[in-house]
Amino acid sequence: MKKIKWIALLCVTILCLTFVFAGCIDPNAGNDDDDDKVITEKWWEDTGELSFNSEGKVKYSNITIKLATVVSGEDKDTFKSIIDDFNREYKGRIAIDSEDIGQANFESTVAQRISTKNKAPDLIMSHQKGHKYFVENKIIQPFSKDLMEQSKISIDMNDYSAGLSRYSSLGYKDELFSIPCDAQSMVVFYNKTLLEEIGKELPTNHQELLDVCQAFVERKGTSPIAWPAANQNNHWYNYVFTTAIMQNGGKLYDESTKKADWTSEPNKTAMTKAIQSIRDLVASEGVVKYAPFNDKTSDDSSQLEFVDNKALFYVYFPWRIESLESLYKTRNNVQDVTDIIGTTSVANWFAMDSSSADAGKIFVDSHFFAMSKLVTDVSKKAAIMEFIKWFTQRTDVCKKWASTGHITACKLVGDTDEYKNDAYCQRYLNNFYPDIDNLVSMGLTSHYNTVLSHIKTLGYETLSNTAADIESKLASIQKSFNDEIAMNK
Amino acid sequence: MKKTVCKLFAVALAVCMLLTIAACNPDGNPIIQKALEARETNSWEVSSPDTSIKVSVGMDSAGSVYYSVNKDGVAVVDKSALGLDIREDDLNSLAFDKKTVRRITGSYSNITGKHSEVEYDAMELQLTFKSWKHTLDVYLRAYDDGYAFRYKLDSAGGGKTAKIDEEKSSFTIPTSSLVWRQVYKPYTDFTVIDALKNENLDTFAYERSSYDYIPASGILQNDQIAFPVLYRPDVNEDVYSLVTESAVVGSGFYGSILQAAAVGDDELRLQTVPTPAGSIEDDGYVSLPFTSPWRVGITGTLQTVVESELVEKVYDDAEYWKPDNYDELSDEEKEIYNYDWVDPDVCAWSWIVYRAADQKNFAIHKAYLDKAAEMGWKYLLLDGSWSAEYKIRGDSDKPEDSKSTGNFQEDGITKEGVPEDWDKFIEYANEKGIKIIVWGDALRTFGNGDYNVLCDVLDKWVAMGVAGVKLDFWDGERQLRDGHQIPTHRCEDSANMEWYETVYQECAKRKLLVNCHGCNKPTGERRVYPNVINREGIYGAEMNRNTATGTINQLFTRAVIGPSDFTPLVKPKGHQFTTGFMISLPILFEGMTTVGDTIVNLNYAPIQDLYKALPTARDDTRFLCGEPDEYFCAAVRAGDEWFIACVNGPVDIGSKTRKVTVDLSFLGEGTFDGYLYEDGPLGTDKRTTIIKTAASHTSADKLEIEVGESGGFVIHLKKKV
Repeated sequence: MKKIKWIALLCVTILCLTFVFAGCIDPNAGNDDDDDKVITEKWWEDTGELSFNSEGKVKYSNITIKLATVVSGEDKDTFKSIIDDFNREYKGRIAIDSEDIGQANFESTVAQRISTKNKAPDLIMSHQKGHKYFVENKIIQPFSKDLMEQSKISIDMNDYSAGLSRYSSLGYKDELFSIPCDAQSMVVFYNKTLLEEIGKELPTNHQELLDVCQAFVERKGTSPIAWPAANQNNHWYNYVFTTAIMQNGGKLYDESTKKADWTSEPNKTAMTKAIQSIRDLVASEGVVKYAPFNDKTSDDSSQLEFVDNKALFYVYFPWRIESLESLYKTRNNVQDVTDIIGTTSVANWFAMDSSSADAGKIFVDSHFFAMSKLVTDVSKKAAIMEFIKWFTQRTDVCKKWASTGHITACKLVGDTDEYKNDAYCQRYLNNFYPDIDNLVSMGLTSHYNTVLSHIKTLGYETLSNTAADIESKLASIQKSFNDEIAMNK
Repeated sequence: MKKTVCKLFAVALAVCMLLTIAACNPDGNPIIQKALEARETNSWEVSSPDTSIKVSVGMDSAGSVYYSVNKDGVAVVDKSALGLDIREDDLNSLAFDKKTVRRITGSYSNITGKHSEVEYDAMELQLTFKSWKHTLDVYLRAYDDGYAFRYKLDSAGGGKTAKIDEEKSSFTIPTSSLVWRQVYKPYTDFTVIDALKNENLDTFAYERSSYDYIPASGILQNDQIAFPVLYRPDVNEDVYSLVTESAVVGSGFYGSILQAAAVGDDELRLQTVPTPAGSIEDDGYVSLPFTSPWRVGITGTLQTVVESELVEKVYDDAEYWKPDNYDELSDEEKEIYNYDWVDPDVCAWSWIVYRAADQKNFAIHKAYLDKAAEMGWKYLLLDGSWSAEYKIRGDSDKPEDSKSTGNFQEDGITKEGVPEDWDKFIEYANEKGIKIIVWGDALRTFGNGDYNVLCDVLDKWVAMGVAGVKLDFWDGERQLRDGHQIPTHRCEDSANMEWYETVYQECAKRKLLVNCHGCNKPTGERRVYPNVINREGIYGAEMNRNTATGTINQLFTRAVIGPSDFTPLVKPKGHQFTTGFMISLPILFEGMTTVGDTIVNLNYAPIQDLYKALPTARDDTRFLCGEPDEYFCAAVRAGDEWFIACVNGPVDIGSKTRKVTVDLSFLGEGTFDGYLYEDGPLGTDKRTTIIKTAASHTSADKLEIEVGESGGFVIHLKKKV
C-alpha cells in the first residue's frame, strides 16, 4: 500500500512537471535564434472598426498617440518641430504626444512601461538594434497587412533601403514589425584648401586613401585624419570599426546562432582584413601616423586638429555640423566655410578589395518605428500607420529631418530630385551616404550590447597594440562574447 | 421595565407632535427654521461684476463641497471638488455655518508688468464650514476675466498646526477640450551621479520643456501637468481658461501641479497635488490659521487671457513688503521700502556666448558694458563663475561649462583699457552709468539655505557695488549633478518657498534686484516684492532647443502669469527661428529684459534704434491677434511709444508666408511715426537679415503683413509731436 502511494506520488509529480514545462513553452517560439518564425498565437488584440469619410479615407476623431522616442540630442528641436507640423495638419483628428527617453535606458524603460501598462507608449521610435529585444519579449505587435489594405495606408518595404528593411520582420516570416525611418553614422569632413594644396583628389578606395594620407604627411607633417578613436567612451567603435568590418565582408555575429564566429572562414579573413585596414592608418610607417589611436584623443581634441587646419579629414557625427562650422569660423576668423569645409563618406575607405560588393557599406544606427502590443483599437493602429507614412514618405518632412544629419531610409523620398537637390542634402547627406541600399545596422540580435562591447574590446586590443596577434585576439574575445551570450540565455 | 417603556413612548409621542406642529408652522420654530435654512443654502453662486462668469458652489448631503464655473453659459469647469483633507480632523463631512458676500475693488501701480496701472473688481463669496475641530473658509471670487478660490483653515479648539494630507481642489473639464500644457516630468538620469542614483533624488526644471497641444482625451490617468495650463473647453466657443496658482510665497505651503485623477469618457478631472520633485517627502505641515495659495482660472477670449493680470490682482491692496521692525527704522531706512530704487531696464548679458571661464575676464565685461552704455541700457550681468577671485561658493569650474563660442577678435575684445581689478571695474561701470548684477546659486552659494551665509554673502556683494542678483538652481540641480550635499529643501518644497521669501526680503533690505533662474513659475510675488524683477521658469533661448510653435504657446501660457526671462538673442542660434522672430521676443516677454548675443550681433546695424528703445517698464499691453500653435501678435506701450511685435509658427503647405492683419485702432489720436523691422533674405551667416522700413500710421490703419515660417516682425511707433 505504501509502495502504491509512492508510485502515485511520483506519477503526480511527473504530471505536474510536465504541465509546468508545457506552460513555459512559447507557442510562437521555436529556437530563439530562428529568424524565420511563424506566429501561431497572437499576443495583441484588435478591437473596434474603422470608419471612413466621403473620400474613402479613414476617419479619425481626436486620437492621441503616445510616442516614445530616443531622439533627445541636438536633433531634438527639429524633431519636435516636425511633430508640431503633424499635429497642426491633423488637428482634431490625430495628435502625437511625444516623450524623449535617453538612449542609455530606452529599451528597458519602454519595455517595463509596456509590460506594467504604466505610462506605456503606443508608438516607439528607436534604434533598430533594440527591436529584436522588443519582439522577443512581446513588447510590440506587427503592422497588419489586412489593416493596411482596409485602411489604404500602404507601407511597402520595397520602397525602403534594402540594407535596412531586411530587418523589418524581426525574424517573423512575412510579418512587418519595424519600419525604418532614417540612418546616421560617423561621416567625413575634409579641408578643401589643404586637399588642393597637396594636389590630390578625394580617395575612392583604400589604396587611394593611403596615397592621400602619405602625400599629406610628406607635405604638412601632421596626421591627415582626425578622429576620436581609442577612447573607450566613444562611438568610434560602434560606427567606424564596424564599418571596416562590413566593408571587408565581415559578420559581427552568426545570424542563425547569434554567437560570434570570427575564427572560421571566410569571416576570419574578413575580420583580419578589417583590422589591417585600420592598422594601415594608425600604424603607418614613419613618426607621424595617418590617424591617431590614442587613449587621450577626445572629441574636442580631434575637432581642434581639424579646425586648426592640422588635419585633412575629420571623422565625426553629422548632427554636430553646425557646432563644427561655428568653431571653425571662430578660430579662423572667417564668415563662411562653404569653400573650405567639404563632405565625403567613409564608403570604400576600409575595403581591402575595392571591387567587392561590400566595399561601399556603412554601418549605421537607424531609427525604426514599432507599435506597442497594448494598442488594440484599429482606428488608433491606422492612425499610427498614417503618422509613420507621413513621417517617412513625405519629402518635405524628410528634408526637415535631414537637416539634423539623418538621411531618409525611404527610396520614394531619397530618389526624388526635390530631396536630392535640397541644399542640405546636396552639401552634406548625399556625400555622407552615397547609396542608402548600402546602409547596414545591427540586425536581428537582442544581444547587441554584447556585440558592441566585444567589438570595442577587439578594436582596442588589436589597434592600441598593432603587433598583437589578430588570430589569437579573435579567438579569445570571441570566447568571451559567446560565454556572455550563453549566460544571458 | 414597563414604566421605562411608557416613559419613552411618551417622549417619542411628544417629539412627533412638536415636529408636526413645526412643519405646519415653521416660522414659529427656531430649530426647524435653522434646519430649513441649511437645506435651502446647499448651493450658492457668485457672479463677476459683468455677470459673464458664474461660479456655482454646492454641498451634497455627505458634507462634501464642489464647484463649477461657466462663462456666458459655456461650461468651463464641470462639477469639481473643493476642500482639504487634514490629519487632525475629518473635513469630508462639513457643516455649513455662514456665508459672506462682498465686492472687492481697487487699483495699484506696477513697476514692471503688462500694465503700469491695474484696477481690480470682483465679487467674493466666503463660505464658512465647520468640522468637528476646525473651521474651513472657502473664498470664491468671480472677476470679469476669471475666477479664483482659496481656503482658510483654523482650529476651533486652539490647535496651532495641521498636516494637510491632500488638497481636493479639482478642475473637471470635458474630454473634448483642447489643452496646451507643459508636462511635469521629474527626471533623475542626467542630474544624478552614479554614486547618488536614487529615484527620490529627482528634480524638475520649468525651463527645460515647452508647452504642447494635446486633446484632453489624450491625457491619461496620473499624467502630471505643470501650472499654468491653458484649455479651450468647447472648440465651437471662443472661451479659453488658463489655470494656475498664486500667492504661494508667504502662504507656508508648497507649490502644486495638476494630476489627472479620473479619466472618463466625457470628463477629465485634474486634481491639485504637491509638486513631486523636491527634498521633502511628507510636506504640508502648516501653522494655523492657514491661508492657502489662490487657485486661479483666467477665463475668456484669448485677448482676455493674454492681457489678464488676475494672478497678481488676487493680492488686492497688498502693500510692498516691509520688515517687522519698520517702525523702528530711521527715515532713510524706511525709504528703502518705497522701492523707488527698483529701476528696471535692459540688461546686457555675455554668458550665452562667453561661458564660465570667460566670466572672470574683465575684458569681456568691459566690452559688454561699453555696449550697454552705448545703447542706453542700465545693467550688465556677470554670470556663473564670475567670482572665482572672490571664491564665492557655487562657482562652476567644470571644463564643459567653459566652452565659449565667442570670437574675441570679431567682438573687438582687447586688453586695451581693461580695468585690472574689481574696484577699477566698478569705478568704470559707475562712470558709464551701468549697474552690475551678479550670478549666484540660490542654494549652494548660501550654504544650502543658511540664513547667516545668505546675509554674509549679500553684504559682501553690496560692499562690492553690486546692484542686483541673478539666483539660479533653486531646484538643486547642480547638487544632484555634481554629487555635492543635497539641500534639505529645493524645487517647490514649502521650506524652499520660504527660502524664496527670505532671499527676497534680504535682497530688499539691501536694495538688490532679484532675477530668479532654475526656479518655479511666477505666482504673483512681484506684488509684494517689486524688486523681484524677472524670472526664468520658461523654456528660453539658453536651452537652444526651442521651436517656434513651443515659444508661441508659451506666450499664451507661461508668459501670461508673470515676468519671463526668455533671454532672447539678436540672431538665433539654431534653425528654428528667424532674426525677425528673435527681435520680437524682448517686446513680447515682459520683465526686466536680458539681451545676450555676440557683440557683433548686438551691433547689427538695422536693429540699433529699436534696441536702444526696448520697453522694460510697460504702460499697456494689448493682444492683437493669434492662436496657440500658430502665431502671436501683441502691442506694448511705454509712454508715447508703441511696440507691435509678431511671431509666426508654421505656414500652410504650399505657402511661404502667413498674412497677419494688424488693426491699429488701439493707437489713439494722432499720427505715429517709426519703423517696421521684418525678415529679409538670408545673410552670409545663414540667418535672415532685417529690413528696416520707415512707417507712419494712424488708428485708422489696418496693416496686412506677410510673415514667413518661424518669422517675425516689429513695428516701433512714436507719437508725432
